[in-house]
Amino acid sequence: MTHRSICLICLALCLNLAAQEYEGKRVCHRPGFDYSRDVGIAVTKPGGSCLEIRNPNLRVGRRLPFVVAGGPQTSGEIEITGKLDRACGNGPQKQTPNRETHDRDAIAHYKFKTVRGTLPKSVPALALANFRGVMTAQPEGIGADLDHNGRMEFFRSCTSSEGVHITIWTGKPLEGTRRWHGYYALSYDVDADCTEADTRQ
Amino acid sequence: MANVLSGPRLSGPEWLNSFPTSKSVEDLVEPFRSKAKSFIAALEAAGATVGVNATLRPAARAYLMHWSFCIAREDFDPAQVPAMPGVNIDWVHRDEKGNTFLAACKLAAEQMVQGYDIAFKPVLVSRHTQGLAIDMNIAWTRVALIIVDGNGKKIRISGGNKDGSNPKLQDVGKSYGIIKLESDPPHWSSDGH
Repeated sequence: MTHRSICLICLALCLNLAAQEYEGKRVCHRPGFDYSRDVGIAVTKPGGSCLEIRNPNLRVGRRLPFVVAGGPQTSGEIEITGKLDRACGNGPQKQTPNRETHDRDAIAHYKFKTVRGTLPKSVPALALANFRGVMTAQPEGIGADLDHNGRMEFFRSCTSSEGVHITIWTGKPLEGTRRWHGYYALSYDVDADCTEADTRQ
Repeated sequence: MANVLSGPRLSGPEWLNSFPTSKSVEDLVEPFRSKAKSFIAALEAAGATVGVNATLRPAARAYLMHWSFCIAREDFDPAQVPAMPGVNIDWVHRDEKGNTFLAACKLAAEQMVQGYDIAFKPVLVSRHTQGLAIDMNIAWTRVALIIVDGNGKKIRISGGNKDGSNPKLQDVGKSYGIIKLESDPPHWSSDGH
């Protein structure tokens, strides 16, 4: 067996293990946090719970930390209980990761139960699919180094005329770099308090 | 008339199905209605799909949502809620002695809040309550959308998103008097609010 063949086999083995790790089986190389598929919007409604996320590979039993970004920020954990074949909300939701990533996957929908903390009814929260770090209370709100680059990310939520904009920022919200943006449509009109930095596509 | 004779109906979940949100363009007010119909017709003639989610949100519905939220979540005195013509609701529940039963008022209001699926305080007046706004999903799959604008000119849209967020499509909407509100993806109105 040539040196090149051995390298190719090792590479294939590692890629396979990395794929398995994504399902939480074992560790070879932990994939980095990917805003395009590791962030979703979770909401509990009278008709049930629903998570929207560009990640079709979440299995039943998978636990995801969540952050309620509006008002006094809180965090907790949800557990996937099944897949849904319908959209979550009151019309279209929109999720826009940072520009250097791409929307590789269509939005998938899951039902879940809350296993830690409280998810207020009908308030959209951020759910994080591939984050195993620590969330801490900071002056800016709940902070977490999502992509393990030594810089904290923060969460923000605001309302536009008939929807909720949820954003993730590296650094202070509205002043740092916006990394992710999601929109959750309400079916009624509210007072808007978002800024252009919150809502721009 | 029957409603007047039977007196006001107490607040509670039985109000939830009154005054539903419309999805019909016919419920918009003129001249916005005609403008919206023309824009939608142009979109469909060009091969785009248009799904209307909401047009008129009756002012009575906004009234019920707003004040139920105020009573349930902001401790507003139910006796102080202003009346609204055409909405024969009694927000004040009473005990057997005729005294205000505040817990029952708040419970009924909370049932309405939950039934309406409200998490944020609804406003009383908006372009939707005025019949001057439409929420619609617009999409197309063709490489280029060739659409006639409000001035009768053919516009070719070949770049950008193939949905309502496309700035060139928003210009076409504007030529019909249908203005995009940037902050809310499905929302178009008479003045962009």
